[in-house]
Formats: sequence, structure tokens, C-alpha cells
Amino acid sequence: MRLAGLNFDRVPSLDVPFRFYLTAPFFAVLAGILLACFGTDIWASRWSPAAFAITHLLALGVMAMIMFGSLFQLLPVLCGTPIRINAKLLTLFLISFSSGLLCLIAGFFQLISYIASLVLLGTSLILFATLLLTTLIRFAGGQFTRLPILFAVISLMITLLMGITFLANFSWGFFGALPKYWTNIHASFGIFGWVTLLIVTISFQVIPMFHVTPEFPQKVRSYLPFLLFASILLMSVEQILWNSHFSFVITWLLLASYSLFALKQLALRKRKLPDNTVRFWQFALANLILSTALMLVVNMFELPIDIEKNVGTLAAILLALGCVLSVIQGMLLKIIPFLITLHLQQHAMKYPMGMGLMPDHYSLIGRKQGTHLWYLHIVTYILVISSIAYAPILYLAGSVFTFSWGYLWWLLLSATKSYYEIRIAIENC
Amino acid sequence: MNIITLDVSELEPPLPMQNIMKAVVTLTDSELIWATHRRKPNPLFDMLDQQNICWQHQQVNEQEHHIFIWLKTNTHAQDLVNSKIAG
Repeated sequence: MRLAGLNFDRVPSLDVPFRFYLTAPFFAVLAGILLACFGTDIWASRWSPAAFAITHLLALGVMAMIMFGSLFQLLPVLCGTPIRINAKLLTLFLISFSSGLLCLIAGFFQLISYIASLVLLGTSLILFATLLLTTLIRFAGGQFTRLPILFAVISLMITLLMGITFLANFSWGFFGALPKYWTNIHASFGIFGWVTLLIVTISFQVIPMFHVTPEFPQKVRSYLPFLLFASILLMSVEQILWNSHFSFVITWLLLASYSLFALKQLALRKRKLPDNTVRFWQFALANLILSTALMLVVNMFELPIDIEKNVGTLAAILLALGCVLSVIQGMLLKIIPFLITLHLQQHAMKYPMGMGLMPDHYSLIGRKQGTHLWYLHIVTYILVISSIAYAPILYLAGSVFTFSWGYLWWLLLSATKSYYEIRIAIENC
Repeated sequence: MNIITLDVSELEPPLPMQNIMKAVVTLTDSELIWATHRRKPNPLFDMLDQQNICWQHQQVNEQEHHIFIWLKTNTHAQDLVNSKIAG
């Protein structure tokens, strides 16, 4: 199936994904401010309140927020079914999710108890993940996309249930101190099972579509998501039973093979025009190969403790900032103007004289602005990596990160404002 | 009959739909649009249906699709499209 089933009656109105896309930069800016304020504390320990807060702001506030918005847009396209939620419930979900996340951050700094975040964040996310699972199991179609997205949502559910258990344990101490591998499994399902698997699946559709490349081979599309999910399950079982990480070799091989395939597809694109989204993709894929290779080194070899800690930190930066946040920034540059143009096109059909007002999509977010964002991202990346060697650089890295996401936020808001202005101008034609 | 040929198969979204729709709004009774696309553009068909504009789709292979578009008042277009599709 190639994008069959797209139907305007089912595609959500523009404000549905945009609520998520416009909220995510707020949490990124907040994470940047924390990075700029707490600086050297961050690398002192992965268990420090600031490290926890920044990790969860990025994982939930930015990555999950963007993924949720994209699923609202993509499920009707890829699986022929909308996510069935009415406008009031959607607003309630977004409010409880966002406020619950703020409560969680306040909880990490021991400003309030975890109970508020357990109620707001835990309930809203579990209910939303259940809705996603129901939609995928009962209503979804799509030969190559339904099962991989289902695996990603199952991973999200596992991540959430483990996270809620940790919070309840922090509050009431049911299980005492849990072994470190439980947090590793929580993180593995979150970053590899939920975020990376979803990126892989969506890339099979969006890379050929937006960048005019050949399709990914059918075998890659069919088997890779399934094997990736199986490898994450295997890693978890191995950690629980033997507290070892040998099966990470399989995960690394799968992700490195995928990255090489995707880089090859991008190299084969028909129109080799300068494109910032392509740069973001290439950078992200290179970082995916490198970060997982470093994780493999940490998992397979006995390293001195300080070297192991630094290599582990570097791998996490390459994966989160170098890979996932690069894909998110690159795709937002592409998908926001695309969605705005698509909806304006539909609107202009009712007012054919307004067709002349249809914007060039590069007038909504210009190439030059995309290039500025790219350089800001690269500077942030270099500064954060440099801070491993000299921690005080983190104060500067946090400031540039804040500015970078603030700039993206402004670009998204400006494009949204243009949408409403052009929409009114079309009606007046 | 004037046939307007459009090849949008190497354009990135949303340009294929924009170019086709630009041609559609100026379409006359004696014209037929013959567009070549690399995907089946379902959103385009929805828009054309909403405007009561006739269209026919032919999938040549996974990456080549032909779309024929004409106005309802163009009484000769359907025969011409059938002959084009028949080869």
C-alpha cells in the first residue's frame, strides 16, 4: 500500500496536529533553560534531578508530543483510519499531559509530590496509548505500516507502565531500590521501541514521498520493524535473566543496516536540490550508526568506569540530539508548509478565484530560515559534545539550544499565522 | 480537443497537486488534462469530486500513474480518455 486510503473526510483539521507541534517547542525551550541553569550538574550523575528533568522534558514534551501529533496526521494516510477522539477530549488530553509533565519536573526537584504527575500524566498517557492500541487493532489497515506502528505503541505502553511503577515506587517504596537494568529496559523501550521504531516506519513513507527517492525494498519495509521490536524484547529478557547485553549486537546491526539503506535512498533522489530536511536526515542517520556503535562498545567491553561513563554519555547525546531531535527539526521544516498548503488547496477549491493566492511552500518557512536552524542545531550539538570534556560549556550549550528551539517555535507560529491570513484572503476573493 | 500534458512525477509535495490544480481552475470545455504522477493522488480525487469535475486514473506501474481530468460539459473527453488508456 502506498498512501492509499487518504480521504479528506478522515484527515484531521489542521489545528489537531498543530496543537502538538506548537506545544513541543515550549518544552524544548524549558529543557534548554534548565540546561543553561544547571549546567555542570547534568553530567555529574544520570540520577540528578536536572538530568531526570531534561531527559523527560525531551522524551515526553518534545519527542512524544511530536509523535502524537504526527500519528493524528499519519494514521488516516497510512492505515486508513483516524484516531477517534472528539475535540473536547483532545483538549483535555493535551492539558492533562502538559500539566502532568510540568508536575513531574517539579517532582524531580522535590517541589511537589509525584502524586499529581501520576494522576495527570499517568492517566492521560495510558488512556491515550490505549486509544492508539484500540485504533490500530480494531480499525487500521495498511500492509507495511499497521504492525510496525502497533509495535511502537506497545513499546510506548511498556515504557509508560514501567515509568508509572518507578514513580509509585519513589512515592511509596513498594519495591525498595530497583536494579539499574529496570531503568535501562524502560529507556530501551522508550528510545528504540517507541521513538526509533516509529521514525523508521514513517521514514519508509516520507523519504520517498518528500524527497523523490526510490521506494525502500519491500523486504526491508516488511521485516526490519518486526526484527527491531524482537531484538528489543530479546535485550530486555537477557538483561533480566543474565544482566548482560550481548543481544544489543542484533539491534545495532539492524539500525546500522537501516541507516545505510536510508542514506543510499537519499543519495539516489532524483532532484538533488539543496534541501535542509535532507541534511537533517543524513546527519540523523549518521548519528544513529555512531551512537549505537558506541553503545555496543560500552555494552560489550569492560572499560574503566570514567571512560565508560563518558562514552555512554556521548552515545546518549548522539542518539537524542544528533538523531531523534534532528529528524524532528528536519521533518517539521518540511511537514508544516506541506500541511498548510494542502489545507489551503482544499479551501481554495471552494473559492477558485483564490487559487492565485496559494503560497509557494518555501514562502511559509524559507530555505534561508531552514539553513539558520540547521546551523543553530549543529552549534548546539558541538557545544553539548564538547561539554563532556569541559562541563561548564553546558551553560552556553543550554542557551544556544533554547535559542534554536525558540527560533523554530517562531518559524512555526509565523507559518500558522500566514495560514489564517491566506485563508481569509482566499475567502475574500 | 486540446490535451494539456503535465509531468509532476519528479516534483516534491505539495507541488504536484498545486500544479495540477492550477491547470484545473483554468480548464475549458475543449481541454483535457493528462497528468503523470509517481503516486496515486487520492486527496486530488477528493477535491475534484467535491467540485463535480470528471477524472480517471490509470496505474501503469507502482511508480507511474496517469490522471485524466476534464469538465462535465466536455462530452468528447471520455471517449478520448478510453482510447488513451486502451493504448
